[in-house]
Amino acid sequence: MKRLLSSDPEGFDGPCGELLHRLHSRRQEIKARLHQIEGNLLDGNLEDTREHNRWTGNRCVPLIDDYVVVFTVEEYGEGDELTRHVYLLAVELEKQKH
Amino acid sequence: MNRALVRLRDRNQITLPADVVSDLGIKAGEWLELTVSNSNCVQLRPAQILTADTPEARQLEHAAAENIRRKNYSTFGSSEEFDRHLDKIANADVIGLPTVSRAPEPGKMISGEELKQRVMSAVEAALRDEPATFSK
Repeated sequence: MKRLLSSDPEGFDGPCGELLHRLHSRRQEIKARLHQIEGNLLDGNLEDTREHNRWTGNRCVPLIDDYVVVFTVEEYGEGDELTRHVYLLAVELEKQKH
Repeated sequence: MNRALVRLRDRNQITLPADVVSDLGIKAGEWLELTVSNSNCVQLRPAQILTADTPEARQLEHAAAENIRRKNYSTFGSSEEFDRHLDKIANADVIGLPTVSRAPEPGKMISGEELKQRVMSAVEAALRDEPATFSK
């Protein structure tokens, strides 16, 4: 199976770049978590993810503190051409739940 | 409305007046979204990390789905490549954004023709068994 990871420039790259800049002292922690998310999603492991938007099918996974990564996964092709494509759509701040 | 003349310096840099920075509630290191309109107007607005489940966040997700449809995204062939990309966006001064038509703002009227096109594209996406990109 081919595994592809993509990121949206506006929704993901900008906010993620800002977060990495703002929380400079925690940059390695954030990057390590992003790589963990990358590995899990490309492996098809959605264990710690949840539905983010029922209308679009987008899902989200905790990143750090109250920040989440919004993503969607597409699988297409057959046999050797079967491809799992993970799109990182956005980094967003979750509302406080208390 | 605040207005000012600012001079373009070497390396294409400009200085935002202090009161504008203060009014916008922004500080060094934060991102601004720059939009150039057809009439040569430049608009700058804070591009802060959005709160989930807000109309602004849904609009951005809609734009991201549109970018997928148009194949406007970065793709990484390896974990190392993704790592280099993270370093790049953490240290970048400019991130180029694709030109996309955004979803209308909440409460804003759209034309019947636009509504028809949106419904048709949502139906076509459903027939292809793809995630819908039709916003609420």
